[in-house]
Amino acid sequence: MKAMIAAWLATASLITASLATTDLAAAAPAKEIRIGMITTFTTAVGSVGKAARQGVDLALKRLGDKMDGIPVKVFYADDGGKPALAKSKTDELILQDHVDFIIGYNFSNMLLAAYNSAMGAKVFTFSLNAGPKNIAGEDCSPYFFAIGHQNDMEARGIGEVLNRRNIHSLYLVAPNYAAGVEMVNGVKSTFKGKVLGQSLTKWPDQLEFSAEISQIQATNPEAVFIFLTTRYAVQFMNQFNQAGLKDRIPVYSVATFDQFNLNVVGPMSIGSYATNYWVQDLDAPANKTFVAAYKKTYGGDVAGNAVAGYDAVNLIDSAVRAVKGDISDKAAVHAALKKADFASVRGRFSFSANQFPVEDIYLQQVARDDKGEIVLKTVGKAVEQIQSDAPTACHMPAL
Amino acid sequence: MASHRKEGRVEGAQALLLVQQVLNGVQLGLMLFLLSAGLTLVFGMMDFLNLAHGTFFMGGAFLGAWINATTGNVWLAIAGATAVMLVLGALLEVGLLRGAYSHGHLDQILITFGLIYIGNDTARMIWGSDGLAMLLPPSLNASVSVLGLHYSLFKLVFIGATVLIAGALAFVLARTRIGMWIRAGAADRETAIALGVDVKQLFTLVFACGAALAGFAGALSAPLLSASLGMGETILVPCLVVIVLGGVGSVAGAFLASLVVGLVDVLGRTYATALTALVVGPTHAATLGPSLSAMLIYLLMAAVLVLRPGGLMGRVQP
Repeated sequence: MKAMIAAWLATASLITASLATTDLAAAAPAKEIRIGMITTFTTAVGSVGKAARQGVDLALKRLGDKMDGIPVKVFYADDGGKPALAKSKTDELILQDHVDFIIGYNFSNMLLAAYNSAMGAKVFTFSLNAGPKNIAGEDCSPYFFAIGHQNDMEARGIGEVLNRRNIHSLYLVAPNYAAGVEMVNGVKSTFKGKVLGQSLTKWPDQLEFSAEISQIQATNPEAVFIFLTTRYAVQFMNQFNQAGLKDRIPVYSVATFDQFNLNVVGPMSIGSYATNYWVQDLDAPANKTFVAAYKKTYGGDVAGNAVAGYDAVNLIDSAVRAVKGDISDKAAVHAALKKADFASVRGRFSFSANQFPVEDIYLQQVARDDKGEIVLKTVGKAVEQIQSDAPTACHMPAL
Repeated sequence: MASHRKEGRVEGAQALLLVQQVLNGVQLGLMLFLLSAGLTLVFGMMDFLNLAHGTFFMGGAFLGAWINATTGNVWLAIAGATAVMLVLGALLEVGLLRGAYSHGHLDQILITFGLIYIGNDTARMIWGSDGLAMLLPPSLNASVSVLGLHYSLFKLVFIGATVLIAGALAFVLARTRIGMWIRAGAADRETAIALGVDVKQLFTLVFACGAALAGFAGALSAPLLSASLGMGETILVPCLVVIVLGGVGSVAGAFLASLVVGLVDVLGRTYATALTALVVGPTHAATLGPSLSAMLIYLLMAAVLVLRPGGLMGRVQP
């Protein structure tokens, strides 16, 4: 029975796939550009998906929902924070909705689950946040572009900052999954001091952090590195304070603090540091336009996750215009995408050979502004024009 | 000589770390006990599987954090959260769950699973999806030092308060008439009914008290854990481990099992990586150790179930 269903599904997908290719080959330029957007819209981390969608929608609105005069249709799919769902929803976008481009993926484990489906179907895929090392390296594909970063870029920036600040010893805390391990290794790859210990916590349901805090207390490092989602950041910082460590040991973080969780996690984290590939007060013309448009449309500060969504749409638009709407010519689309010929809100932005970003990383600090509100204040650049450093070189296959 | 002294100091620090981690384990265990005590009685007495028990925990945490933020009084926050959960538990039992006892486990799971979603979304509507932090006043937000050991004052308060509650619970169950009825109901429901115990009313009481204990645990834990959506489900799983490990329906068993689970979890997180490194080397141990420590309590449960199918202090089912 199972085998029968599998065989039936395989036939069905073959038929749909062949239909899709004939479809594409027939028309030039395309009558409609179909973009699939898949990320985590629900669960406790649903806010990241909401923000990413705001970025995508805002960019499309500014383009009049058209690229090179061709109407754009977006299909939204929710991976529900489950890798299995990320894969099946990606299959659905490809086989059922016949999307030409896929935008999305906040978590590396979702992207990794869906990666082979998207690459196998030869659909250009733009990862907004997930940028695991193996995809930057041995598993690279011409159909994959990382828009946000390689996972560990901000973490490598932290190592550089610590070196410059003469910090000689460090303790690291991150969840025990693909990205967590990459962050920890990223810091360690640039940090020249001594790593006194690390805790890879249970993911996604660590109960509490007493054991980890006690180990930090016992090893007494000059700085602590954390990579935690809001819920765990609140727990960690709370217990860190209660143990009397906060005034003695500075906390450096990636992907932990943002404008939106600061009202919850901010009061106990003032003085802590974070690195980011984008900051709201960045002095670039495209950023000023973006921030103003965002504030006008959604009211309030920009959610960091919106940036990559906004940039991804503008990147696709640049390629569609370059090929004059003939997106069936994948080689031409690919060549145009690689040029990154669009104004990124991040300012200087390009792709390295493995199609991961080359960009600046900024250092921020949790602080109170003039009005007494808790904000992320930009301190300076952590590192300029950082590149992907995948251990195994990517041998980019021909298209 | 100098190196000897240094070694002595390292050993001293290691011993202090161990003491600290044991305290952490006891604290975590006691938190699990507050939740498991109510859950095990409910399951033991009515054969009713309440998956929404963790939702009372979350409710307590949110209410505690919220009352604390509004009034600035930690004790009022904890008491208020407990009282609200007591009333809510009683209302739920009388209004909804009572009808489900005669149905099978599947219906009960569906109903209480639905309650989890209702609870999470209600909390999301009221307090937003980022959760709430519960900030302690400076007087409690301190650490105490005894013999070179620095430990959070609030955690000591937590341990003290929970031990008091556990003591009170033990007294009620062992020394009072109501306690005797509850034990009888949990041990053998039919016989208790036959002997004239009003199990129905008793169960409302037990369920409400269980909800209150969970709410109390939530409010008391909020300064450590903060209140967040889904925290009830995260805590429910180890609670089920505790109940199975201790023996369904046995509060004493739940107490013992809570401490075991708390200690195994915390000590596992502290030492698993170092111990695994002895076997597979440090490179593999860096990721294997944490994975192993995350599994430890389940391995422990499996082992106990093989050796004592009824749990540590439960009856072996005939």
